[in-house]
Amino acid sequence: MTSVATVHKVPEFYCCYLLRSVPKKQSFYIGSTPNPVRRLRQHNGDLSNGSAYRTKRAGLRPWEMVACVYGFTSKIAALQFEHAWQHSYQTHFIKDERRLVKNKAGGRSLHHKLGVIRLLIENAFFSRMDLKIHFFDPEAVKVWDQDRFNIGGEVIKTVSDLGLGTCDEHHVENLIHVELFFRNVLAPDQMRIAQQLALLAHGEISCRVCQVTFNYVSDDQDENQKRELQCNEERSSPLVAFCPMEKCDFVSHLRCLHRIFLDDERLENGTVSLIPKSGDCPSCEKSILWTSVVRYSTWLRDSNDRRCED
Amino acid sequence: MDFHAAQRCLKLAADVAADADHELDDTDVGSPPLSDDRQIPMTQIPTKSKEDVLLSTQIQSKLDEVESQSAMRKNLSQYAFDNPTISSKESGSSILEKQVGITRKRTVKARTSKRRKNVASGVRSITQYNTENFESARDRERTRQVITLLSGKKTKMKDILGRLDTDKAAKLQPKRPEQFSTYDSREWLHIRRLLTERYPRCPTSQVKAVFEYVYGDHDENHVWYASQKPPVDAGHNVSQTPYSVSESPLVLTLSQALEDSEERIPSRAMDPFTYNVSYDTRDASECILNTTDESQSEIPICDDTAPFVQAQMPQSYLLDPSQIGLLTTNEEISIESKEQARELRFPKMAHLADSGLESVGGSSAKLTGERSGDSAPDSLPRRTSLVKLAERDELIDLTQESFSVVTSITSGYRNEIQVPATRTATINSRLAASSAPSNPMSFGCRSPAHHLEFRICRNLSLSDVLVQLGNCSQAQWNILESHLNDSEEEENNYDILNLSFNATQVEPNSEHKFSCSDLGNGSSSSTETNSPRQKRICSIHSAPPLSAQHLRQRLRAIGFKPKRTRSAMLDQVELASQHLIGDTQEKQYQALFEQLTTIVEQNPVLLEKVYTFEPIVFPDLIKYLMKSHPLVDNLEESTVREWADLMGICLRSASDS
Repeated sequence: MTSVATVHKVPEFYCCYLLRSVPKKQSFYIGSTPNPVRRLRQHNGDLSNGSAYRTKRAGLRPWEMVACVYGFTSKIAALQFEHAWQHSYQTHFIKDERRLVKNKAGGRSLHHKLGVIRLLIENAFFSRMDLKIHFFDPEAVKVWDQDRFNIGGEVIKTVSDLGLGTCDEHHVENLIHVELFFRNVLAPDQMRIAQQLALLAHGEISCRVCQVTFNYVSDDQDENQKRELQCNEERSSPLVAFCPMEKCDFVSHLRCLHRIFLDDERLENGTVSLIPKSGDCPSCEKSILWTSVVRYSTWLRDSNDRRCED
Repeated sequence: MDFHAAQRCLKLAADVAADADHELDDTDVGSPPLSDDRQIPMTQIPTKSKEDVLLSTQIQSKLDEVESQSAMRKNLSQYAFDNPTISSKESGSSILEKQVGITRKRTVKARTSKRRKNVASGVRSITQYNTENFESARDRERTRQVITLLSGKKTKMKDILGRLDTDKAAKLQPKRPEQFSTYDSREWLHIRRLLTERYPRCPTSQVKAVFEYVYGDHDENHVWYASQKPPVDAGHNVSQTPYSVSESPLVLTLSQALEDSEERIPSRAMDPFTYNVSYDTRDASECILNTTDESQSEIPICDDTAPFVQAQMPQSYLLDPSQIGLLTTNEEISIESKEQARELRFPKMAHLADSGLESVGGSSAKLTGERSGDSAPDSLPRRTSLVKLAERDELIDLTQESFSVVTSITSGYRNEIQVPATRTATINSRLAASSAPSNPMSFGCRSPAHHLEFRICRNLSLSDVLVQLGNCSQAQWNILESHLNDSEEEENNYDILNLSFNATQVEPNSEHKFSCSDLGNGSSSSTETNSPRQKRICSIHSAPPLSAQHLRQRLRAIGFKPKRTRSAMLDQVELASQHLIGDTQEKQYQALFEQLTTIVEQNPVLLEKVYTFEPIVFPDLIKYLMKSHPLVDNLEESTVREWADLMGICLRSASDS
C-alpha cells in the first residue's frame, strides 16, 4: 500500500454543479468544487483567477448555478462523477441500454442534464454515497420532477427558498442562494464535529464495543500506534465513530462499528459487502447512515492530526 | 418420334457406329475399377447382327409398324397391279431394315448412363467419387430394370449394357489409375470433432442412411471399401485379421462404446485381440459393456460405483459400422491393419478413453503401448502420443462445472450416461436403471473389471479420485511407474494407479479372465475403502463441444480474460470451475466477486481504506489481489473494476498526487 501524503478524509463538502448562462439559456457548464460560492464567483469573473476557459467566453457570462449534487465521499469520486456527467454518452457508469445521451452532439437540454444525474445516481458506486441534490432554480425543479425520460430513482432533493427574484441581476441573487445553501449544509456538521471533538478532548475513552481505549489527547503517538497495530499508518490517530445523532453519546472504534453494521446487514439481507449502507446505533438505536459516521470520523482524525502537527 | 426422325437417327447412329468401330479396334485394354466384373475383352467387335441390338421401344414400335405395314403391302401387292412405286418403297424399307441393324449406341448410351465427368486429376475424394457414381450407378440399375421389363430380353440387355460400359469406359476413363485422397489422422480428428459438434445425437437411422449414401454398394475389391464393410461372419472375420493377438488390440472410441451401449449387438465373434486389462469376471458389482466378450452376461451397475472403464472399450470393427457414427467407423479402420499401413490411425480413439481426463479404461491404448513396447514397438506407436488433450474434456469435463459435491457427472456426449466423477468415464447404473432395472442383461454385457487402471494426476490427492465403491470390500491402489506416462501429453505429472478391489456381490460370470501384464511396478500405496466415500463430484450437464470460441465466450461470461491458446483457455476454465462454485455462469460470476471481497476483508488495513471511502490506487490493488489469489491473474481488468464499483471502492490511477 502506498502511503499518502495527506491522510484521507471524507471532504466536508464537495459538490458537482450545473451552471447555466444567463444571456444564453441553452448553454450549460458542469463542474465540481469543494466551495461552490468561491467557484461561482470565479466563473463570473468576480475573483481574478481560477475561472474556466469555457466560462470566460464573452457573451456567456454571467453564470447562474442551477443545481448542485453534493455529499461525495472523496474528491476523486466527485471528479469521476463530473466526468461521467459531462461525457454521459460514453461513461461506463451508465449501462448502454439505459443511456440517455447517445452521442456527443446530443443531450444539451436541461432535461438531459438532469436526466443524466438520475442515471448516475442509479449506479451502485454513486448510490452508496448518499448523494443529495439541491436546486436553485424553480424551472429546474419542475424539469426534475417531470422526469421526462422516466428514469426514476430516489434522491433527497432540496430547493432554495426562492423569493420573488428580480429579473435583472439574476445571478447576484443566485450567488446569495448558493452562499446560503453552502452555509446551511455545513453548519450542522460543524456543530456536531465540535461536540465530538470536545468529547474526545477528555482524553482516554474506551470503545463501547471492544472496550479497548483510545486517546485523542495524548501526544504520544506511539501509544496509539501500538494500540492500533497499524504499522503502515504513520502518526495518525485512530478512527473513531460517533453516533451522528445529537443526543447520543455513543463512541467506538470505527472498525468495531463497521463490524457491527456489516454483520447486521448480512443477517438481514444476506449480502456480502464491504461497506454498510446504514445501521442502528447500538446506543440510541436510531438508524444512522454510514457515510455520515465516516465523514465525522475522518474529519475528527484529520483535525486531530492537524492539532498534533501544530 | 415420327418415322422420319427415326430414320435420321438411324443414319446418325450408323455414322457413329462406323467411327466407333474404328476406335474400338485401337483402344487399349484398360481396366477401370468400376467395370471389373463386367469386363469383356476389348478386341471383341460388336457384331452388327440384329440380335445384339436393342432399340428403344418407341423406335422399335415404329419399326414394327413399318415392318407390319410393309408386310401388309407385300401381302396386298399380290393383288396389286404392276406398279413400280411399290417396289421402290419396298426397297426403301429394306434399306431401312438394314440400317436398323446398326447398333444405336448413342441413344442407348444416352439412356442408360449419364456421361461421366472427366476428372482431371487422378486423385479424387472418395466421397465425391461415390457421390457421383452413386447416382449413375443407381440410374444404371434402374434403366436396366426398366428396359429389361419392357423388352423382356434380359440376357441381351445385360450383354449390350456390358459392352457399352466397357466401350464407354475405354473412351472416357482417364488413363491413370484412380487414386483416392484419404484423410490423415488429424483431418479425421477434425472431421470427427465437427461431426460430433453438429450431430451429437444423431439417430442411427440417419447415420445408416448417410453411410449407405456415401459408401453405397461399394466395391468389394477396393481395399478401402472392403475394410469398411461389416464382417460377414466370425470365421470370415478372423480370416481377415491375421494379426498376432498381442499386437493389435482393437480399440474403440469412448463415444462409440457409450453410444452403442444401448443398442449393443450381442457380442460377435470373439475378438482374437486381447484386452490388456485384467479382469476378474467373477464378481460384478459393476456392469461394464464388453462387446467383444462372448458371454452374454451382464451385471448391473451400482450407482457411482467404481470406475470401470472401458477396459471394454476395445471393440473392433466387428461392430456394424452403420450402427456407429460414421466418424467412428472411419476411425476404427485405421488402426489395425498392418497391411494397411495408413496414416489413418486414430490414437484418439483409444484416447478418448484416456482423454476423459486421465481416465484410463481405454488405457487399453496405454496398455497396448506397454505391450507393444515389448513386442513390436514400431507397429503400434504410442497412440497416446498423438492425443490432443483438446479431446480430453469430451466426456468428463472439468471445464463444464465447478467441482462441487454432486452425485454424478453426465457424459459430454450423451445425456443418458452418467459417469462417476472420477476422471474416468464409465457407464453407470443410470443407464442400466433406466433401460431396465429388472433386466440388467439388456445392456450388452460387460464383465466387471476388478482390476482397473487410472491415470491420476499428481496434484490430486488419492482420496479425490477414489470413487464411491459401493460394494467393495477392499480396494488397493498401486502406483505404477510413471514411465508409462506419455511425454507428449500436456500434463506430464500423472501416475498410473492400478486399482484392484473385490466386490462383495458375486455373480457367476467368470468366463473370461484376462491377465494384465506389465503392471504393478513401482511403488504402491494402498488404501482401503470399506465404506463408500462421498467425494467431490461435479455435476456437468452435457456440454457443448469445446471449441476455442466457446471457451472464450464462457471465460468472458465469468469475467475472465481469455488466453491465447486453446489449452491455456482450458486451464483457465478448469481453474475457474475449481475455485468458483456455481451452476451457471452468473453464479460463478457472483462467486468470483465474493472471493475478491473475502480477500479484502482479510486485510484490515485495506478494509479500513475501503470503508472510509479512500480512493485506492488501482494497479496496486490489482497487484495485491493477484498476490493473494492466483485466480485474479486471469481476470479481465474490467471485471475487477466492476467489482470495485459494486463494492463501493473508489479507484484512482497511480498519479503522484
